[in-house]
Amino acid sequence: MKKTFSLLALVSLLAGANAEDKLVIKGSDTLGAKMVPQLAEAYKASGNEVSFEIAAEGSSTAFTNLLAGTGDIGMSSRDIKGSEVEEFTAKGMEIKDWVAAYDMIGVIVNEKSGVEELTTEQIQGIFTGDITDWSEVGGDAGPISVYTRNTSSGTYKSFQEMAMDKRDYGSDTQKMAGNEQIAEEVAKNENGIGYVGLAYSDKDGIKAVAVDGVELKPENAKDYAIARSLHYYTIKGQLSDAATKFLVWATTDKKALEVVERVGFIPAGE
Amino acid sequence: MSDSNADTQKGSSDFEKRIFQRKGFTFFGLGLQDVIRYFFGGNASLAIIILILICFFLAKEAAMFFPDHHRGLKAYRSAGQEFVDYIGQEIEQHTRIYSSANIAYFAEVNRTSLEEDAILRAQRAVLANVESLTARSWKELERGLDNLEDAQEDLDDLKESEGALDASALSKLTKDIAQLEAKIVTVRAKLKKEVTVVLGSEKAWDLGGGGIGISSGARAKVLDAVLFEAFPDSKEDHPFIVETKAASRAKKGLEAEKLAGFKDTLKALQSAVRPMKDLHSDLKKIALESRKEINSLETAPARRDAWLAGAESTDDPAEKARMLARAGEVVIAAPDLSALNAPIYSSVDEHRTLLATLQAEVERLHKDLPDGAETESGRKNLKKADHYYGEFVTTVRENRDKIQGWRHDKSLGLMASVGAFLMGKDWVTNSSWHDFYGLLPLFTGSFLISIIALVVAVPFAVSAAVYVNQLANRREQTFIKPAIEFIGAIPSVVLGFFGILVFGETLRMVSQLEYLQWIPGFPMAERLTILNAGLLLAFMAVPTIFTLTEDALNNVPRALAENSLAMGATKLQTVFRVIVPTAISGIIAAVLLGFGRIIGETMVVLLVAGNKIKIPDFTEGLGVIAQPAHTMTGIIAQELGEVDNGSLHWRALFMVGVILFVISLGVNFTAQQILKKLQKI
Amino acid sequence: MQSVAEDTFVEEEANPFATKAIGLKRRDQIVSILLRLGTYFILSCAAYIFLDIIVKGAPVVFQAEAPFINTDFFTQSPETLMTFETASGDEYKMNFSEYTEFKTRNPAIDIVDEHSHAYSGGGIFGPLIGTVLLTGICIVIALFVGLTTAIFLNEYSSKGKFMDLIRLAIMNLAGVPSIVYGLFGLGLFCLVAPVVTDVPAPRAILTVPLLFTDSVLSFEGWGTCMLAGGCTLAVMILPVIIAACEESLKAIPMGFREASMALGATKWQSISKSVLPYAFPGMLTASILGITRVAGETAPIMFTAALAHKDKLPWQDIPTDAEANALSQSAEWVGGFFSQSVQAMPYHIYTVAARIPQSEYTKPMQYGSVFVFMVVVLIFAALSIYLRAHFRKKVQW
Repeated sequence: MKKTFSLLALVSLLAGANAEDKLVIKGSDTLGAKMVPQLAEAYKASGNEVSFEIAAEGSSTAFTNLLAGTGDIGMSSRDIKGSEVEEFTAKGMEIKDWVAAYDMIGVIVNEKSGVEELTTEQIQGIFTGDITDWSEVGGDAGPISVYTRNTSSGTYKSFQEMAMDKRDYGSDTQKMAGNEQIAEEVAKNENGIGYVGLAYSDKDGIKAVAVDGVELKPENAKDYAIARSLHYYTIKGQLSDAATKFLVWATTDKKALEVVERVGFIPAGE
Repeated sequence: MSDSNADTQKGSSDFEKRIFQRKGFTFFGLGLQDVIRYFFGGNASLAIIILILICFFLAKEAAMFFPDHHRGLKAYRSAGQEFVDYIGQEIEQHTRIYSSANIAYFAEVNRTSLEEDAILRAQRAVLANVESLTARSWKELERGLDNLEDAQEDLDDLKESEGALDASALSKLTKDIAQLEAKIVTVRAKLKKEVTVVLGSEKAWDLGGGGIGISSGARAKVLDAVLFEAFPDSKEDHPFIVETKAASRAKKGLEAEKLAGFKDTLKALQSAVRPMKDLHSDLKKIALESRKEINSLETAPARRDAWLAGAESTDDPAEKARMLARAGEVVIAAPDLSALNAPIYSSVDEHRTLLATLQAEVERLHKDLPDGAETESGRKNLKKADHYYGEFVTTVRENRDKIQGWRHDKSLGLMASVGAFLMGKDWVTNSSWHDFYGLLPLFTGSFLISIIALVVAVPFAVSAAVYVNQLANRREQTFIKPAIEFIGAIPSVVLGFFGILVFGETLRMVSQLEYLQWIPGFPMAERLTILNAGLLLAFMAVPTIFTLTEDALNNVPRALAENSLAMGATKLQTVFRVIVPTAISGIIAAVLLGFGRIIGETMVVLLVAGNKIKIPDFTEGLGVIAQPAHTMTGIIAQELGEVDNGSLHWRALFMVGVILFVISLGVNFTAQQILKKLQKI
Repeated sequence: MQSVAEDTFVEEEANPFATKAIGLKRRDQIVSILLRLGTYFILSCAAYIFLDIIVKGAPVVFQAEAPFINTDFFTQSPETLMTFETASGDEYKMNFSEYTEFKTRNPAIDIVDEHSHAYSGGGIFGPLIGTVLLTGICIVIALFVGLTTAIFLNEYSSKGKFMDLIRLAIMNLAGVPSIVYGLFGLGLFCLVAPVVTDVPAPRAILTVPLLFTDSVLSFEGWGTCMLAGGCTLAVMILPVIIAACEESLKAIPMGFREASMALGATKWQSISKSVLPYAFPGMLTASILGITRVAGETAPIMFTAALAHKDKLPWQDIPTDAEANALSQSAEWVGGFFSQSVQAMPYHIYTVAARIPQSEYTKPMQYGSVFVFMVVVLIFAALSIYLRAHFRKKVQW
């Protein structure tokens, strides 16, 4: 997209030119807080002349930015919704899906909590607000403080679908901006519970509970109830060569998969 | 600006002579002075236009909100979701009764094993503390163990491999293993030493808040147990812990036996609602399908047009045909709502019978619940259950007519949309069911935080102003005034940062102090609360209130004070009976402007208020300050970046912005009117 | 406090000024001590916050050996910080860029226990530059429009209901929450403002063909960018600047203008020679106060300009059409420069406060950023407070 300029109007002196070698990546915090910045750094380190702009505000922003043309690649920690596909088709665009990695959502509690295991039914009860006290799920008495992601987050949505039977979150839940923030609050609050991506579950002060008896470990990915895939989304036909090259590299190259593993996700190749 | 500067310099006087004093300079028929005048006038109008544009843009986005919101509410009704939610309310009320009774039950069951549980909790806490204090050596140990395991696997592989045994490799591996084992032994010894040292320190005994004290004998045993468990040679618990666990379990079992009747009631209570829940979830699926059809109809024309436009622009005939086909597939006909809602209408009778049984059952079981309890928590929660039973009955009664009279095509006025926004109790977005946009939780959050901030800030700011203006000596004045103005310059994000990193934790620690328990809401479990945000905002409001109050005090004619002193009044009598009352309207204006400043503050509340979108639970009295809340400014900051331009959610956020705009204009306007009146006196 | 004081006098209702009892004197003392305590409590709260930030932040910025300032912190942009140990037990801590280099240099090294800390490495050069640019754009626009508006309102406009209304509106708009300006900026500058382009974006709400060229004036907005952020901040600060400038113009005695006019000077000559020079100090103070406020604002730039991560500095790699002539190339460069998002200090602080945990590795970045930011903002604040006191003392007529 090329634009020419006129000096006629000062305020109009504006360009929105998309440089061939600049990749604007927007969307999920789960991907964008750790994995993609490090992939970007590693990509540049392996000799590619590309610059990156990364904004990680939540998966929904991946689609809003792709729609508005303000992003090249969307990161999402959930599948695209039907209504979003419709919005793209409504504008005559088609979306392409790249699986970035696999992730398990860990349900975390404070390290000092006596609860070691929860069933999916109990988790649903806690996050919808039906269960409000730890004594109801086998812990020491105390009101449960529930921490969730903000509403645009893909983790928010995937968790709702996988662990809560699509029911709405209870109004007692606290909305946090990112995985790290949830981990931080749970680590500080003995009555806290929250959920984070696998990559964030080994922080000090928290522990992941077993869900339906399955522990949160990469090797249990198949049996674990709350596991999902992470995605890159792009628009067909509007993708620059540099972006394609990066995505292919990020999803297949050995170095990229190493980075994915290091930040704590399960590489898509496996 | 640059023009005027240049002209003021002496060197340009020559230039001026030529330009300014030459008669007959005209520009499109205007004299020079007129040109200058119009230049300034033009800029002034630009400024005014910008300021009008602010109102226009806010109003534009917000005005579109109500029609859209109305359409959403209509879809909510047409799809039968409204009906389903009536049933949902009944179930929710039932769940509350059950949940409270359940908590009471567990409080009773656990009451005899409190000491054992406290010991177990202490052991967990100490173990966690010790592990985090010696984390480095732990990791070293774990790594050593991993390496050893790997080496042993390699050795096994080597042994199992076919063919001749590679002797050199074998001996190397055996040597490696021996080395690793030796290293593990040293690491373990080191760790043991570290753990012993750490266990002696008070840090290890930081049990967090609300821990019940345990006897010193138990304490020594816990230390023993931790020392034992810190070295997982075997995965077993220390005998003392095993013993305690068993004792706890036994005591609980004994108690549960006594309370078997209670448990049965609870079980019956839980199963009583099951048929209703099944009906609810069946209807929910149906309503959701209807909603999808209604929604898809709304976007259908746009989608078809997009496919058609796509077909128009492409040159590839195959692609064109495909796109045209897709355009043809788009269904534009309105769904038959009566047919869609038929299952819902036919369920009315079923619901009535189910509800009758449920109500009878709940009434009976509610009576079966024990009247009293041994523990404080048990009594409190049984009382709660009682209260919720009352609410359940009311909900059922109120919903009866609503359910009977419910029609999917009942008309819905535009005012209903306004009402649902202003008085709505839920703000639920990105839902799979229906998005609710109710202002009330956000408004109460904002308001409560501002009130707390004012209650704290006003006494301090006003007394500081009185002190500086009336009592302080010159030296103090020249130092205190700029210092407080300095506070006003601290960026709010810095205060938010301080609140989240330092103040929240400090406040929580303070709230757990034994002798502060009389303060409502203490001890607090959360770091991010209304109180935390309120106190930080109070700090922000102080400079505004201080400066304006001081101005108001300054404006009091000196004669008044002199008269009072001449009459023999003391300094303080003069201050509080003459000066402050005279300046009172100025002080009120100062407080109002302070309020305006804090209700519009964003970063502090976004970072520190805890972001819980719920109307604070006022049944806890003043304890409400220990709860987290969400605010109007916070919700805009948190959600605006992530919604589609022009979507309903986007417009709802602009509408919240308009409300904020109106509030702050109102507050400012009132304050200025007061000040104006003051000036006239 | 007040209530305490009032209670004191209730008993004396009959004739409050009558007695000079010793009790009264003591009460006087107690109340004034309370007032003083209240005052110093506020100051000690401030001192606590400052000290906390200084104690934890200063060690990041300063160092013991020459050049005494941690230059890396000021010359690098935020990066991921890597921490790891080698099998031999050595610990390392380095930025990601150094880390990759380290690994290529030592391919044989056996890295264990590796952690990455987002946003915790590098320095704050990018955000600092961004804030300077945003504040600069904002102040240039706000001062130009604000000053001329103030001159018009005070010197040229006729008195009347309409002007009073406008003044009232300006006064009131000064109190509107900054997040509301953010909404407005997003609505106007990012989504609607006009752009000259050959290819209007589909979201444009209006396109006006420009005569004699292929271009159109497309009302599609500037997107999230520096210029939009600067303009939003300018609009936010405009009412404050207008009010402050008008105030300082008003303070010039009418006699100055009258004397000048009486000597035969034109209107503009008397304004430029007899009014503006004397109003200058007031305006300078207003603009510095404006800088202080604008530099610290986060809410208005959250949606209009700021970005959490950007690995290029604003002037690096702006695409230009190599085949075009020099004039259009430089125009393109200027356009490209202003139409990019930037990192900014307040948003950076928001990111490191909300998005990353607190640990020994993240704290230097967190406190270092806040410390530098505070120092910069407070220097401006101190300057404005000093200037005001200084000129108030000096200029008297």
